[in-house]
Amino acid sequence: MQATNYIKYKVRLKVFEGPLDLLLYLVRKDELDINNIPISKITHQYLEYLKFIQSMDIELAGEYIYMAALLLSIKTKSLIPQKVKDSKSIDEIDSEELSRLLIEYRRFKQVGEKLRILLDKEKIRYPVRNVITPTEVKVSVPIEFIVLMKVAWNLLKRQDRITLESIEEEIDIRSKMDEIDKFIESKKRIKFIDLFLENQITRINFVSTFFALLELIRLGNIIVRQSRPFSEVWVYVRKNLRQA
Amino acid sequence: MRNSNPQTKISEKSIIEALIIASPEPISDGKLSKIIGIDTNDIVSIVQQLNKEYEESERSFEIRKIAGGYVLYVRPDFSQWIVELSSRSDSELTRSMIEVAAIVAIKQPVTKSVIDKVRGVNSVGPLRQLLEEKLITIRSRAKSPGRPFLYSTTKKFLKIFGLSSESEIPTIEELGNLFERFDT
Repeated sequence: MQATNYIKYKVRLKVFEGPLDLLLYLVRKDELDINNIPISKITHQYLEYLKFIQSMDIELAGEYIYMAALLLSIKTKSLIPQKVKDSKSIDEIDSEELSRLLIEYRRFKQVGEKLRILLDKEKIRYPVRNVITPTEVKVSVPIEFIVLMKVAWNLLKRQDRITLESIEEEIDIRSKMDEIDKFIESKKRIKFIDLFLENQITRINFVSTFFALLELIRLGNIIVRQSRPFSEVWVYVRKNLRQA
Repeated sequence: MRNSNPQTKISEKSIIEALIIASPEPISDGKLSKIIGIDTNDIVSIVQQLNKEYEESERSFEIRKIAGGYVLYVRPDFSQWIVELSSRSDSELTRSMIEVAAIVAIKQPVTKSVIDKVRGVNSVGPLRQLLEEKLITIRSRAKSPGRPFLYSTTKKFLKIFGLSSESEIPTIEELGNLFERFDT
């Protein structure tokens, strides 16, 4: 509720940050004394401005209306001679209080302007960067590996390339890594599923390919990426980080 | 400032330089003093000396104190070229954000209701944006009824305005005097 109010208001009166900002503008425009604001004059101008805004069929934020009411009440009170100065209720303010509010607001506005200047100056200052930091070498595993294994398994199975017979064979992970490495090296990037080179893949072959892949990722030699869900999974070479 | 380790001929000056270069964030006098084991006053003067040497030998960089620590910066004279190579997209601060930031900076720790009162409008939007940008943070709650949040500025705030500490934030008093001079 508050948030939407804020957004609406921003659209409504872009030029002014609020009723105080508008009043400050009116004071400055007519070179009025901020310590001794001619309340009748400022109220008139304020209301004129609100009328103008409303004539453009723009809805006014509550704060502006509230300030209009405050101004009118100050004006009314200044017209009626008061016999006794009774204690003020919370919402009651006089023109002195209004001056105080405006002066305080103006000061913060000035600080803001000073900050803006600093910000603009700082925008074109460049720290000397530490380009190479130890944290640079990050393992990039964007997709769940188990999921990837399952998908690959099912796909190969559908292609009828999985051999479920248990064949006793020994596969060296390191030579598998070399194999993958060389294969990708020549292509820069390959589809993940093309990592399985053989026509018939045994279970141990399947698993060792994954192990090799994980190890290569850990070493930072390759990256596995999928740009969006259901799209192709690619394996890339990380050239610049390759170990000699 | 003399050579503490004559065998390797590494001066405290070079160590300070090395630490400032290697530190991923602004490195404070205290931290430098703790690592090297010399007085913070000496560190201040060594940094000044380093900067003097850089200037005299026309180096393109300088040491600045930002957000409480030293950082190596490229001299502003080179910005016009650096702009060409960087594609840094600074998030733009709106007028209301700057205004609210100014109030938080000076009155911190401060509640939303105080900010609203000063501005005469609800500041929920800019407050949230400043929190999102991590320029302000909630450090504690006020003791007043409802225990409202108290907002303060962050290190990032100091960094983007190029200030070494909160004490460098332009104060109201300063500006107050300025007004008096203009108003009278």
